[in-house]
Amino acid sequence: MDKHLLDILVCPVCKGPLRYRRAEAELVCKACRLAYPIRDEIPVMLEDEARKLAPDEVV
Amino acid sequence: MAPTPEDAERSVRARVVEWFGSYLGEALLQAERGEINQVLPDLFGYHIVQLGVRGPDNLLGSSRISHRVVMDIGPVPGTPPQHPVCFPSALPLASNSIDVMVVPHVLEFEPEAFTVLLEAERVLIGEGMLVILGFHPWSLWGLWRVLFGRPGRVPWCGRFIALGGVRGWLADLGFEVVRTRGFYFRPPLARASNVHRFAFLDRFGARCWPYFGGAYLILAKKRVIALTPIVPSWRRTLVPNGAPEAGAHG
Repeated sequence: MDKHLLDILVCPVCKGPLRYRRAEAELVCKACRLAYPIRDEIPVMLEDEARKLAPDEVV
Repeated sequence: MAPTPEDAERSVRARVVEWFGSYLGEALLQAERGEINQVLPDLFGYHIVQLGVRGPDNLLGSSRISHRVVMDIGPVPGTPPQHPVCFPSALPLASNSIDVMVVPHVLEFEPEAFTVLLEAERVLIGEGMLVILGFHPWSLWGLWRVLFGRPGRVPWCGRFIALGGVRGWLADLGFEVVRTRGFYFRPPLARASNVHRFAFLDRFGARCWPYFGGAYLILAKKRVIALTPIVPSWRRTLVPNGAPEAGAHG
């Protein structure tokens, strides 16, 4: 994962900061409760493709 | 001819990428690379972003900026993505973070072209540069589109936006247009022999009708209002003759 890219990536919906979950290969937006997938080190920053976090899932 | 069912199934965005792999698309891309190579070496910063994949190689080869990002336009069904994927009208980039943004033939094929520019304005830093490549309706390509353009076929299905229209949008968003240039004066003929036969038009067109090229390049700078700190007038009157020179009494 490109570290410089990670510095400038934000949530496309709320433009808020993202948390990088290396183990799950996801970029998580706490405000929108969305997890954007990272496929083969490439982030897919589409709202339609993002996973909705479960209500009990801790960010 | 109506678009085939296979065409209708695939998204316009995917077909645009395919078209740039055709002979005509590659010829145009080569001309665009020549134009953009005259612009990018003079632009500096930390991050440069190309919005949309156009051809096998990106257009950023001549840039001196070390961190180059190509953002693919989603959705990309089936194939694993080669570049970060986004929607141009909802960029996943921080505000005021990008130094140079290249937008090649995105506005024509996006339903919300102005929103794309709005997002570009948001992510660019103050004095950041925006490079737009687009098809010109007032050209042989525009004429071809009206007379022979098949609806539903790339590039004719795109909305060719006139240079004046894009300039107006940029002015509304506070950009200053630094440079505009028309190029590719040849007709949009797909055969290799025709592409070479009309190569002389590029020489004449650039000299005789420079604003009527099949495509155009716009280079614009994001202008921001800088605050100038001023001293309140009541404080200025306390020192009517200015500050005493250093060492005047010593």
